[in-house]
Amino acid sequence: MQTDLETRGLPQFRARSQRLPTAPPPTDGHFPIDHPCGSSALMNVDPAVATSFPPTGTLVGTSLVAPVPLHNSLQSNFRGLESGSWTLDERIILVFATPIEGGGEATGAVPSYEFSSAPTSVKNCNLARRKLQALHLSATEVTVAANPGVADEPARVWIEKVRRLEEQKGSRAAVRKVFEEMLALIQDAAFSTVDSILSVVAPESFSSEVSLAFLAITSRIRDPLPSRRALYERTFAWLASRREADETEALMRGLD
Amino acid sequence: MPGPVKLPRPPDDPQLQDLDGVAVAIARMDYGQHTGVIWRDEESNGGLFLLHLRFHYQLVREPLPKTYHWVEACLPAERAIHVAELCSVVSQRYNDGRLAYAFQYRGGGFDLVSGTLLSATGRGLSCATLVPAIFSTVGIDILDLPTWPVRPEDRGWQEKIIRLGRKRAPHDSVHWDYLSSQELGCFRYRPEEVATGAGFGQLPAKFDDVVGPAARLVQQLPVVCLV
Repeated sequence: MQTDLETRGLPQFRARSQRLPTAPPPTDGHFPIDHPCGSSALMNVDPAVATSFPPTGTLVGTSLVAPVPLHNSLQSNFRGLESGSWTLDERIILVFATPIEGGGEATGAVPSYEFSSAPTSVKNCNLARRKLQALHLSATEVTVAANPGVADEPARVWIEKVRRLEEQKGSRAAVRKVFEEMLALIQDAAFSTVDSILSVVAPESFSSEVSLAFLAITSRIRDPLPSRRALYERTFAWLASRREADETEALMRGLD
Repeated sequence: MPGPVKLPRPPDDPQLQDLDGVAVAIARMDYGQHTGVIWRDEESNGGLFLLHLRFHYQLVREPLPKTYHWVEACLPAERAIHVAELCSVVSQRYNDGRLAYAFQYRGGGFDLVSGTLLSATGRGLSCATLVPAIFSTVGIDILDLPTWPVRPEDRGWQEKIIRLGRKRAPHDSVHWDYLSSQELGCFRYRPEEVATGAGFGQLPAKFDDVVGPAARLVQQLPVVCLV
C-alpha cells in the first residue's frame, strides 16, 4: 500500500546532501583513499548539485555526485561505474553510491529521474573519482547517515498534515489517517520511519485521542522502537497534567 | 473482579442510537452464537456498522442488522474511537473479505509484519477471536486469555465447523486438514464470553468472572436466523 509518506518521498532512511568546503584540486595527481569515497576535501563543490540532490527519493550510503556536461565522450568515461544518473540543466548528474559503512547497503530510488537502485562498488567509486579528477570535473560528496534524526524533517511535515486534518475535519479523521499510514509503514517493515514519526509527535499539539493513536497503533510491534518509550512518557506527563490520576491511568492502559 | 459492568442490551434499545463508542454484537442462531464489533462510521453518515467474520474468507462490514443484542465496551471515549476507526480501516483494507477461519488464538492482533489480519500463532480467526484481535491491535486486551481452560465440549463444535468448511469451501481442503490436525481441541473463546467480557470495567476479563454471566446471556437471547 502506498502512503502519503511514500509518495512524498519519506523513506526508511533519508538522504541529505552535505555541502562540502571548496578545495583546490590536488596538485600531485593522487587521491588519498582513506574512505570509501575518498577525502571530501579534495572535491570541488557544485552548489547546484548540492542543493538539488536528491530531488526525491532515497539514497543511503556514501556517494559521489558529479554533474557532467551532456557529451557522449565524457559520459562514456563513466559507463558501468555509476549507480545512477539524471539530467539537470544540460548536464548529466552521475551518482556513485557505495555500500554504507558498517554493513548497511546503499540504495537509491529517484523515480522521476530513473535513478537506478543498484549501488556501485567502492572500487568503481574510486575509479570514477580519479577519472573526474583527470577530466577536471567537479563532484560533490554526499554523506548519508542512517540515523533517526535524518528523517525528522519529513516526519514533522507529515505530523503537521495530521494536525491540520484534525483542525479541519476533526479528531476521528486524524485518527484514521494515523492508523492508515502507520499500518502501511508497519506492513512494509519501515520501522525506522515509524520511529522517526514517534520521535516528533508532540502530544499537546493534538487532542488526546489523536496523541494516543500513535501509541495505540504501535502497541503490538514486537521490537521496541527507541522513540516510542519517550513518546509514552511525554503523553503520560501531558495527560497527567490535565486529568485525574485514575483517568490518566485508564487512558494509557495497554499502551506502554 | 470485573468492576462496573455494562449489561447486554436488546437490539431495539434506544441507547444504541446514541452509541458514541464501540459495542460488541451478540446473536443466537440455530448453529450457535455469533459476534462482531459495532461502531459508528463518521465517514458513512455516522451510521452504525457491524464488522464480523461470517465464515471462512467472509469478513463482512454491513449496516448493523436489527437482530443483534449488544454490549457497549467499557472504554474511555478516546480509546473507543481507536477501535471504531480501526474497524473502518480494517474493513477498507480487507474489503475482499479474505480472512481465513481458524480456531487457535493466543493473543495479538494483526500480524503487523506481514500486514495480514492473523493472530501470531494461528492461521486465521473465528467470529469470536476477531473481536479481541481488533481491540488488541490498538492495545486493548478484553480477555485474560491464559485464564481460559480447554473445554472438551468445544471439540464437538469445532468438528462441526470443519465439516461445514469442507462442504462450503472444498477447494481449501489443505486449510481444513490443518485445522483438523493442529487446532482441533484448542481453547475456545465463545462469542457470548467475548461480548460479556467487553462490558467489564476492569479489563482484561477473566474466565471465572465471565463464564456465568455469559451462559445466562445465551439463555436470554432469542434464536434468530441471519444467514
